[in-house]
Parts: sequence; C-alpha cells; structure tokens
Amino acid sequence: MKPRRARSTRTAGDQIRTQVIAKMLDSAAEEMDVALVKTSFSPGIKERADCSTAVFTPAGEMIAQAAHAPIHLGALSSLVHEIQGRHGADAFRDGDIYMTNDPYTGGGSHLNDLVLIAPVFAGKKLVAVVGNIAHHSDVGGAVAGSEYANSISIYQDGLRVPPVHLARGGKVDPDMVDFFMHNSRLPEERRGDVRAQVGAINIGVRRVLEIVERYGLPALSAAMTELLDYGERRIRAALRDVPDFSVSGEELLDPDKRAGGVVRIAVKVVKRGDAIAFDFAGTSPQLEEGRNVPESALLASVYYSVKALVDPTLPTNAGYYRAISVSAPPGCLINARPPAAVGTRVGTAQFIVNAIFHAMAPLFPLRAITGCDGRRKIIFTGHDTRADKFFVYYESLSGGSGARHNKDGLSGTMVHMMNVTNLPVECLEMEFPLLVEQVRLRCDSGGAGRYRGGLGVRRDYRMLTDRVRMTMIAERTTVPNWGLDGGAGGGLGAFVLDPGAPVERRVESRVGDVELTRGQVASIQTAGAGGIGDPRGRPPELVLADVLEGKVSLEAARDDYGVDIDFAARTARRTGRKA
Amino acid sequence: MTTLRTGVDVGGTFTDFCVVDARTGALHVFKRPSTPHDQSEGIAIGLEQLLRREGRAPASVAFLAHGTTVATNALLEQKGAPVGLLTTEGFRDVLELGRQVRPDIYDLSADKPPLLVPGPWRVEVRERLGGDGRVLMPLDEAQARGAIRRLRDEGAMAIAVCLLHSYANPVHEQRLKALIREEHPEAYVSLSSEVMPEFREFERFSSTVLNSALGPIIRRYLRGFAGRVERLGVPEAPRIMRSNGGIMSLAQAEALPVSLLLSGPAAGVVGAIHVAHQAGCDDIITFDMGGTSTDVSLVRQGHPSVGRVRRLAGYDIKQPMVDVHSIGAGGGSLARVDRGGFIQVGPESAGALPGPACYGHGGELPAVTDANVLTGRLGPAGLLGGAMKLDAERAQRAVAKHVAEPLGVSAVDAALGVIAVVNATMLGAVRRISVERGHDPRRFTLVAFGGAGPLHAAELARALQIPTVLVPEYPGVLSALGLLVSDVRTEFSATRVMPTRSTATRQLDAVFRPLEREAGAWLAREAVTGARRSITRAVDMRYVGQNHELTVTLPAALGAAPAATLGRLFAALHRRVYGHADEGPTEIIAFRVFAVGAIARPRFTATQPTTPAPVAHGRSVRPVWLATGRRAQCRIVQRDALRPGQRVAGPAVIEQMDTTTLVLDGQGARMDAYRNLIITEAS
Repeated sequence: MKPRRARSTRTAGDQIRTQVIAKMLDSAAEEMDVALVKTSFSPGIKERADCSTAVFTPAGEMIAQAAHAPIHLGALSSLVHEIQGRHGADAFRDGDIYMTNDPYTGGGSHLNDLVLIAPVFAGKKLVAVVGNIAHHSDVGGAVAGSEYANSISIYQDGLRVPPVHLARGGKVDPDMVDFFMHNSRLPEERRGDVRAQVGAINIGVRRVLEIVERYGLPALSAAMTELLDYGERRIRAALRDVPDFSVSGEELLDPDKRAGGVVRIAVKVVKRGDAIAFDFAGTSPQLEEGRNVPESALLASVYYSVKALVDPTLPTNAGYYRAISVSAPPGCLINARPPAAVGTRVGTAQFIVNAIFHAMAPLFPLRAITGCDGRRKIIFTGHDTRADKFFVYYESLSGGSGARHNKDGLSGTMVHMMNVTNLPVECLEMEFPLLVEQVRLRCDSGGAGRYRGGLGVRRDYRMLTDRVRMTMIAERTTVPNWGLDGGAGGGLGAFVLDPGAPVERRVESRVGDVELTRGQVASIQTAGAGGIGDPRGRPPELVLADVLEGKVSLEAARDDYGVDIDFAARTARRTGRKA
Repeated sequence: MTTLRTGVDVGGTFTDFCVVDARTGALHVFKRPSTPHDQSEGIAIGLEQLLRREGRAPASVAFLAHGTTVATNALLEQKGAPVGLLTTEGFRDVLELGRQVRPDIYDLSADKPPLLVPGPWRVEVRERLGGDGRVLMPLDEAQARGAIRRLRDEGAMAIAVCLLHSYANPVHEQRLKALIREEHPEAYVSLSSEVMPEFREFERFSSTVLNSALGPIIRRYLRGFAGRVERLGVPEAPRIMRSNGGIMSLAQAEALPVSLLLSGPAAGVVGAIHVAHQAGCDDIITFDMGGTSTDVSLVRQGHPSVGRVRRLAGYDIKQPMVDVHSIGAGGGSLARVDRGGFIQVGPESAGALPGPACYGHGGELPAVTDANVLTGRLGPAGLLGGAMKLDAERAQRAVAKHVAEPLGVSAVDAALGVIAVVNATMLGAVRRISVERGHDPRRFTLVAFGGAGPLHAAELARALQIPTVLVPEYPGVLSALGLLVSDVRTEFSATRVMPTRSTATRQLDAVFRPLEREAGAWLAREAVTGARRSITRAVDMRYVGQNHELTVTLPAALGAAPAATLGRLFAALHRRVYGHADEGPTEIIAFRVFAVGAIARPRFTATQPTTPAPVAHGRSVRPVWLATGRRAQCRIVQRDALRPGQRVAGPAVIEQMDTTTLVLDGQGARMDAYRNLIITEAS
C-alpha cells in the first residue's frame, strides 16, 4: 500500500498503439460484462447487474474493467498474489480457472460474490489475467440469501471457498461445480451463474489473445505498463494542483447491536505533494455482526472516494492507486480479521466514503456531496404455493443522494459504492408471491437546506403466501445522514410491519429472520440525505414546487424553510419567522 | 406520368433531396439550406425548385418519403409539451425513481434529465391489475374523471396513461382514454399499452410520457407538412421514416412520435444497405462520421440490427429502433493533451462556429479536421469543391501549440496522433456493435459515409482487419436515398410467459393470430396489398431463470414438434451471441409479429465497366503523411473524373464535392458499375 513513482518514457507512435490497445482491453472487459449479465440466472446479476469484469497485468494490477458497482474495484487486487502464495509461483497454467469467494484470502468482499479468474497464456508466457465477480443469490449459511445480519462469524455467512481450481487445461471440474451447488438453497441457479461466469472468462481470454496476435506481446506488455503509469501521472498531477492539507473526519453508524455502543469510522487524510494518505486510526473495533469490512472493500472505498473527489475522469486502472496509501488498525471495523462476519459489509463501506467526504468536503466543495446512503436491503424467502417452488427475492432499495454545492440531491438513487438497479415491480410480481402496494418518495425525508438532500423511498410489500421469512439490513435507523454548511440532516429510515394497522410495529435496523404470513405488509422506508446551506436561503418558489410535488409538507415549509404556502393559490411567501 | 420517387431528409444544416425517375432509373440529388423554424417549408421550396429544374409537374411525384429531426430536436431542446400523467395508485414516482441508478458513477454533479411531467400533474388513479392481467381492483371512474378534469383545468394538453401490468390487459387504460375523450377531447393522449405493450414499467412509462410530450409538436408539424405537400399538388400521401428503418403514414406517425427519434440515422442505414446490396454485399458495418458525432451499426444479410431499448438525451426509450451506436466524436471534435500526457479527442466540438482552426473563423483549438489538413489528407482547395477554403497554417499553429508542444513531438506526429486517437475511438465503437455481440467484423464490409467517414474508413478497416470498404457515390445524402428504398414496416407484440416445453401449435396460434389480424389491418391502413405484404412471427425466448431475452425469428412452419424446433433455434442463437448454449429448459416471454409492405423499389442505373480496366493516375500529387509517419507522394484524383471499372492504387486521395476518400499505401480503390468506390487491400 506504499506509493511509487511513475516513469515517463514514450513516443508518439507508442502512445498511439497504447491507446488502441487500451480500447481493445476496454472492449474485452465490456464484452465479458455483457455476456455475464445477459446469460446469468441470479436476479442480482441478470436484472440488477451486481457484477464486474476486469483484465489484469500478469502481476495482478487491474488494467481495464467494466464495473457497475465500485465496491468491486479493489476486490481482485491482491488475488493474483494470494493464488501464487497458496499454489506456488507457477500456480497459473494455460486453461486454468480459479474460483473463490473468500474475503480473507484476497478474493471477494463477502461470500455471495464469487470471483473467477484465469491466466491468459501466449505460448508459455503469462501475458494477462482476466476475471469477473458476480453476486450469487445464495451460498448457504444461516439464512437464505446468505447475508445474515446477526452472524457472529463468517462461518454463519455461508460456504467459504478459498482460491481453488474450477478448471484445468480448459476443462471445468464438474465435481467442483457440484460441490458449490450442493451448498446453495438454489443449486440450479448456481450452475447457471457459474456457467455464465465461465463463458465470460473464455471470451476475455480469447480477446486478450487477439491483441497479442495482432500487435505482439512486447506491444501489449508495453501498453499495460504505460497505461498504469499514465493513471499514476494523472492522479499525481491532479494532487499537485491542490495545496497540501491534513484533515480529519468521522462518521457514526447505527449502534452496536449487542453492546449498544457507538460505532465510529474515523479518518485522517494527509496530502503532501503528489501523494495522499488515509489513516483510519480511531475507528471502532470489529463487531460480532455482519457489518465488518475486509481490507479489499476498504481499499475499494478509498479508491472510489479519491476518483469522485479529486478527478472523476481518472482512468479506471490500478495506476492511480499508486499515489494512495491506506492504513487501518488490524481488527478494526473496516480492516476486519477472520473470523469476523462480513456479510453486509457494503453498508459499512458506504460510511467509509462518507467519513472521507466529511473530512475532504471543505477542500473539494465542487465535487463533495452531503452524507448519504439511506439504502435498505431486504430478503424475502419462502415457498411459493402458486408455483410450488422455493423462492429467494432480494433487493437493495436506495435512499436519497447527497445535496451538491449548487443543486439538490437526487431522490431514491444509489450512491457511492453501490449502483445496482431495482427490480421492476412488474417483473417481481410475475416471479414472486408479493404484491407491491406503493413506491413513493417520502415527504420531508430530504434534509432541508438551500439545496435539499435527496428523498428516501417507501415501498410496501403485501405477502401473497404464508410463512415468508424476511431479513432486513440497514443503517440510518437511529443516526441520520449529515448536512453541510447549515443544511439539516436527512430523515431516518425505518422498517415497519403492517403500517396503519392496529398491529403496526417497527423493527430494528438489522433483523435476521422475521416470519410474515399471507396478507401482512412490510413497509421499507429508506433514509434521505443531508441538505447544504441554510434552508431559509432557499427561494420560496422552489419550496412551493417541492410542496406541490409532495416532497415537502406545508408544515416543514413553514417550520424548516420559513415559507408560508397557499396551496390553492399556489403562492409562497417567506415569513421570516424563526423555526 | 407519375414516375418521380422522392426522398427528403432534413438535417440541422441541409435538407437533402434524392429523386429517382422510375422510367429511366436516373438519380438526382439536391441540397438546400434547412429551415429550422419549420422543416416543411424548406421541403416545399426545394420540391418546387426541383420540379421546375426537371421540367416536371407536381402531379408526377409518385412517392414522397421524409426523414425528420423534428422529434429529436424537440427532445434535445426540451421543447416537448408538459405532460399530465395518470398512473396506478401508489406509483406516481416511478418516473423520477427510474431504475434507481445514478447518471454517472463518479461524477456526482451529473443529473438525470428533467422530468417531462410537472410534479402536481403526476396523478394516481384507483385501480390495480395483477401480473396475469386479472383485475385486482376495478377502476374508480368517478375519481378518474375528477383527476382528468383537474388536469384539463390546469391546462394539460398532453396526457400519458401508464398503468401497472397494462401490457397484460389494457382494459383500464382503454377506459381512461374514453373518459379523457369525454372530458378533455382536445388533449393528445398516449396509452402505455399502445406505445409499448411490454412488461418492465419504468421503460414503458418513460416511452409513453415521451410520446405524449412530443405528440402536440409532431401533430402540428405533420399536419403543416401534409398541407404544404397537398397545396403543391403532389397527389400521393407522403410517408415518414421511423426509427426501425421502415416508413409509415403520417397518421401513424402522429400517434407514435416516439418512433421518430432515430428517423434520420435509420434512413442512413437503409440507404447504406441498398447501395451495398447493389454492390453485392449484404453483411455490412455502416460508418457515418460527421462533424460532431459518428454513428455505426451492423447489418446482417441485408437486415439491420434492431434494438428495443436505448437512452436518448438521458431519457429511456423502448421502441424498435435500428441499433445505431452513436459516439460524440467527429471531424469537429477538439483535441488536447491531458494531465497524464495522453491525447484526448472530444467530446467537446468546435461546432460550425468557430469551427476547426483551419476554417479561419476564429477557432484557435485544434480539431480532427485540422489534423487531416496538416497531414495533407484534406487538400488546400478545401471542402465543397473549393467553396470553403482551409487554412493549413492555422491548422498547423493550433496543432503545434495545443498538442505537439505539450507532448514534445513534431506537429505532424501530433496530428497523426490525433487521427489515431479518434480512429481508436471509432474502433471501440465498431467492436461494441460487432465483436461484443458475437459478430466477427472481418466478415463484413465497411460502408463509409458522412462528411468525414471516407477519410477515416481505410485506416479503421485496416485496424479491424475488415477486408473491404465501400464509399457510395453520394456519401452526403445517403439518408435521403434510404428514404426511397424503405419498406413500410412495423411490429406488434404481446407479453405472455409460457414454458417452451409444453407449447403446442394451437397455443402459439392463439397468441399470434390476434397480432396477425392487427398487422393485416395495419397494412391495409398503410395501403399495402397482396403480394407486397409479408408477415413474420418471432418470439422472445430465454432459459428459465434468465432475465434477458433473445428474439428468435420463426420459419413459416414450425413442423410437428414446435417445442423442439423453438428450443433448437434458440440454442443456436444463444451460442452465436454468447458463445455457449445447453439443453436447459427455456421459456417464451413475448410474441412478435413483424409486418412489412414492400415498396416498389427503384432500380438505379448501372454502367458496365469498360475493358480493360484503366488505371487512373490523377492530375496531381501531394505529400500526405501516413499513419506510419511516412511522408508519401499521394495521387490526387477527382472522383468525377473516374469511370466505372477504373482503379486507383494507394496511397491516394480521391476528392469530391461532399467528402474526401483516403486510400492507404498497399490498398487499391476501384469504381464499380454503380459508381461506388470499393477499397481493398492489394494482395
């Protein structure tokens, strides 16, 4: 994790070839991605694209990727070394495919994410590595869907696969597929997903070999080196443009479920010259629940933050990582050690980003956004009596996105490390015994401000079959998203069962296993983001528009924004009254 | 005698006419400035001029087809009508939420496009259908009537009706339409079950709202256009090009403006298919490079790839559309050196004003065109047959200052770098539509058009190992030409999920027959009769458990075991597209019926090549820098001077009014019987 300097040797001709090869590498990653999404079976991959594909140098540095979710950025970075460490220096042979889902041996970041990687050989020479990562809907463990909020160790999360051979000599080992399938509640889906991932790997291998055939191995190697150096030059130039700084930030999560204590992520960011260092000393220790973050996901969170804050146009390759160093106490929440459970790590990773944004917002006001991620994850499983089959339905529902320096935050939008789509209601009602009764933005959930935070969403599901088991995972049930410069925090999220009925009850942030019966309603209410600037500086006509659109109530217009609305006449007037 | 067939394509700058006399096969092309305030004015003026020039009466026009950018411009310029939305209770925010992904992963300042429905006009109505089309809650008509009256009273002139699961049963949407007709007869109304009767609510709702937003503008435009044409005395009802590569009546266009959004690019692809077919190639990749953007698309066996979902100006649209992949790079794209020392080209463009530095209109920044001037690929005589001079010194200064100096290389090397980078971008675009979808570009012919296409095609083809490049005779008016040769075309679909295993001919027929009746009625409305009709069946299929479908076109008869035939056809397609397939169970998701009315296709005149094929040497030579960095003395040949059968050995530059064609060292160009240039590698 130490920064290193770039060399700079290039001629116009080299550069031209490098840029052509870069396009072909990008195209290889894209093609793997398209094939994976379109041929997979897990709803998370096929409909929500919770997967990424990448091409690596022989040394394992990521050179091209097609990523939907930045959480996958760092996931594969140390895998090549891990495999060589376990299987010896000549671990890679032509036709090999390795598979792993183990967060602690270099691969994925939670057990659902199955990683496949394969070496690309030109003759006897290892020229590249291609890989993909995809979220499988179930890999065993205590609950269907394998993201058990109450896990006290990773052994409760599901089947743990260290980097092992899935294929040798181009032949997939059927025993390994059987073994993997056998540990899932949805074995046939596993077979289909693994086949889709292998298909994508084969495409990647073929495309990289075409580059070698076309331009020769020396040109490919030189291009890879140059592309990484280029990424490094870009980040270092961008960092040099900014005065040196040393800033700190912190982020609080919902309290520790067992001990009830504060859960904190602390960060100190020091930028000197053309390098930037992140130190997470002061972060809470790892927890006996699924919210811990393995190192790969920590790195991904830092890499994402730097790109979003310093320069969103940085090339997405590992070159820019070289200017970044990261340290976090081993055994802390965000650098967890085995056997800490990490099933729901992405929820925490979001707040690593928030902590960094909190620290760096004053220095990068044009790109920073307010505190956000009001996401709620739900898993419904049970027996669908209509089709007489077992089902697993899961979904991450977005909250509001943070306010920007000159505009409101986006409502109901995925933020930071996540960017998966929702499942269309028409798809899910066809496939699962659920009826969605509403999908609406939540009035007053966006933090008030000159620029308002994005709103959270309410989605209500009615059960159409008996004995549906439900898992719920979220943050922002007790600690709100923060605002900036006088903007208010965002509205809290909630899980509510049977809203409006006499038996209505709220359930806590992370619930492992609740049973619902036919006719019951589960209401998922995601949190809003913080606002920026004094709400009383928001022009009354914008407050009026929000009221007319149902985003702000008349009461909040008056109390938070100091604006009286005449709904019938559609006029707004600032009263000057203090909230 | 009614023998003139006319295609008119209206672009931002020029209105292009292409006219064929059906008696003689003679082809005339004609350009005049566009009239952006009302495109039909330029069409009428141009038609009149054209008829006068040819000494023909308006009554001699047998066919008139129009490619229009009115819908596209209205969308890009946010000029659509504000829309009132009627939707299922609980779902008013579907449009704002979309698929919940953010517009850009890392650039957090990026926004989604503005909603076309103002907040208070998102109105919920009490009703609910299930996924199987069953009515779970009947429509509350009294409440709906109240909602419609409110929209009317608040001035909504366009209404979109978007109900959940309406693809499975349109009953409530139809009823709402009837209520709107009663309460607010002037409103332009779109139903989601008519615009796109397929599942996945966000994309369907988005398309329907867009259709309504464009409706009033398109209705006004088309009625004005029809009036002008009628007043001119043209006897034939004009037709409009739609995004799927077919033409349709003005009445259908008025009901479905969202299907006009790719009118122009689709016409270009159809034109390319036609000229390539005459030259004997039916597998082509079209390469249309203009000033600010480039469109590429893939055509197999004479059929364009048709996609159904795409994003335009940030809006999600689901409609059958020729699958044209657009990238924001063209001749006017600006080049710069970034902080990492790489040349970047675009997406910023010099535009028409000030334009590239070499135009001498005050542009200081180097564009791709400047790099072409500096390397001798574009000649000093300039564009448009010399009407527009190019200033090589300004081009040199701009490239030197903004590219060569920061890189520490010569201006020529810098210019070659700029060209190579833009070509690499094109290469990425072509790979995306070919390699990434299971097609090997080496089996295709590259058809190059647009002002800059022929200048970059030879290098692009070589990089992709495409063996042949075809440059049509009139690369600047290919869209207008496409209008002359487009069939009447539409499709009807129904979402029905059924396992393939248990399908019997009877079940398939039960779904297909009503669609075919609709198709027949539509063809009748479009005045297509008898042998000119063709109706084909297709199904969208997938493996049980997948969520993305492939469209399998069905043969006329499926035989005694339809399930087995379907499974086999699907597996073959899946293998071609994704590289693998197996015996797993499959299901049908949607049924499609394609209706095509073949139009009487004009034949263009072929000139038999003279023998033996002479070699054209050109009148002059000029130094041109090739990609290798070599300075070569290139033959400069005027295309007008070439005759069918003549050959030009590369390196050469072939100049004509609306484009310049570069032939590389080691390549040769030949003019074929239809005056196309065919460039191949000399073996």
